[in-house]
Amino acid sequence: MLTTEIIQFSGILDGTRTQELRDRINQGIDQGAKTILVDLKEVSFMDSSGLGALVTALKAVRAAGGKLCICSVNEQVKILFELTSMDRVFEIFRDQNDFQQLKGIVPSR
Amino acid sequence: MSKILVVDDDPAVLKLVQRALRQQDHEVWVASNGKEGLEKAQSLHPALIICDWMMPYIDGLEVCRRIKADPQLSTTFFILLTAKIGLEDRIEGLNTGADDFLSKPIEIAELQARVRAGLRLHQVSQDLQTQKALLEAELAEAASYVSALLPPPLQGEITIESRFIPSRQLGGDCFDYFWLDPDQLVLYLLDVSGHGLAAALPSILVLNLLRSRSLPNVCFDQPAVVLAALNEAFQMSHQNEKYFTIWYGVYRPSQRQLTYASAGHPPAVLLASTGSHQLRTAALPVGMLPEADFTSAQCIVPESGTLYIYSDGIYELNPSAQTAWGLKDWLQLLTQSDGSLSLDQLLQQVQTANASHSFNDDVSLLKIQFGGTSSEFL
Repeated sequence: MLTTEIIQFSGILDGTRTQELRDRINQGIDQGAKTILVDLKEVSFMDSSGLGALVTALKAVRAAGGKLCICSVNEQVKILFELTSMDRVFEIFRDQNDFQQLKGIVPSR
Repeated sequence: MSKILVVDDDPAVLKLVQRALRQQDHEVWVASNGKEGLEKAQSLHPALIICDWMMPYIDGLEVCRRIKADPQLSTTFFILLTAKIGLEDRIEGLNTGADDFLSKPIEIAELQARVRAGLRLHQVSQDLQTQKALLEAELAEAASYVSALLPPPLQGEITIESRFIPSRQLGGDCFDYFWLDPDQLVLYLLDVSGHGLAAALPSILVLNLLRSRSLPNVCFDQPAVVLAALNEAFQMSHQNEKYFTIWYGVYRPSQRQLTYASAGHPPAVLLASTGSHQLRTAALPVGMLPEADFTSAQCIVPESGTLYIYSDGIYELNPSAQTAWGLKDWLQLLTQSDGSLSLDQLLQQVQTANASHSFNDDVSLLKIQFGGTSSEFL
C-alpha cells in the first residue's frame, strides 16, 4: 500500500528553518513514504529561502520516486507560489481533507 | 587589567574589597553612594561592578536597573552585595539584571573567585559584541560595494531613477540598464533568495555577466532567451541553494515597444493615461529547475508612460507582524499614485502604511519615464 506522511510546519519559514525543513522531509522519505504532504496551515510567512528549501526537498522526494504535495497555504504564501509558478511544480490542496478526498488516500497516522 | 567599580556606603567594606581585589592585580575604583557609583560607571565603563544592595537614596537594585538599561554599560557584570539572601530577594535581584550575588559578611576567597568568574563572562560577551560589530561592518561594506556597481540615473528623453536600500543583513538585490544599441534599452532587476554575502555574491556575478554580455550565443535583446541562458548557467544545486527572481525588458523607442520576460518576479507596473498594466510572464525563478521554460511578451508603451520595477522587499516589510499589507496593497498604492509621487514619497507611504521605519529585506525600486513622441529618437 502507498504510504503518505503528513509534515506540519508553523511560524515563519525562512533561512533559519531550512535545515529543519529538509531534515523532516528526508525523514519522511527514509520511512518509505511515497507521498509527502506538507501542511502549511500554521505557517504565517514564507520567504525566498523557505521556498528554496521546499524545492530542494521536492527534488529529493522525486529522486526517491515519491511525490511532494502541499496544503493549507495562507494568502502571503499563496501569492509567493503564484508569482513563482509553484503550481507547476507542486500539487497544492486546499487542506488535508481535500487532499485525502482527491487522492483517495488515508494517511498512515 | 580589568576595571572594577565597588559601590558601598560603608567605608570599611570599600577598603576591604579594594585591598582584596588589588592583590589580584585588578584596577579598582570606589564610590560611596549610588549616585556617585552611576557617574563613575558612565565615565569608567568598568568590566564589573560590585554594588551594595542597601544604600540610602539610590539603592543597589536601582543602580543595577540603570546600568543594565544603558546600552553602553549593559554587558557590565553586576554583583549585588547583600546581607539579604532570601529566595525572593535573589529572584528580584536577578530580574532586575544582576548577574551574581555576594553575601555579607564578605569571604575574601569567594569574592576573588566570583570576580574572576564574572570577568571571564564579561570577556566572552565583549568578544561577541566585537565580532558582531565586525560582521555588521563587513555587510555594510559589501552593501556599499553593491551600491557602487549600480548604474547612475539615466538622463534624456527616457529617464530612469532608482532607489536601492540594502537591509541590515544585506540581501541579494541588484539592477541595471544600458543601451544595447541606439534603439534598444535593456533594463532588469533581480533578487537572489536569502540574505548576506551568500545572496549578494551571485547577484553581483549576474550583474557582471549581463553588463559584459558574457553569456555565450545569447541575444541580449530577447528577454526569454536571456532568462533561459541564465537558468542554464545558475542551477540551484550548483549554486548553494540560491535562485533568483528577475524581471528583464528591452525597450525600442522607435516603435515604443517593450519586450519583457519575468521569472518568478512580482509584476512590473506600467502606468499610463490608459490605466495601469501589470507586466509579467509566468515562469519559475531562475535556477530552480533545469526544465523551466521562459516566454517573452510585448506591449506598446503609451506616451508619457511610467514603468515601475521593484523587488519584493517593498511589500514584505514585517513578516512577524502578520500585517495584511502585501503585494495587492503595494500595487494599489502605485496605481493610485498615478506616477505623480517621487520615489522617496512612495517609499515613505509604504513605511507609513506599515507603521515601520525600516525595511526587513533589500528594497530596489526603478522608475522609468518613457517620455513623449518617438520621432525625437529617429
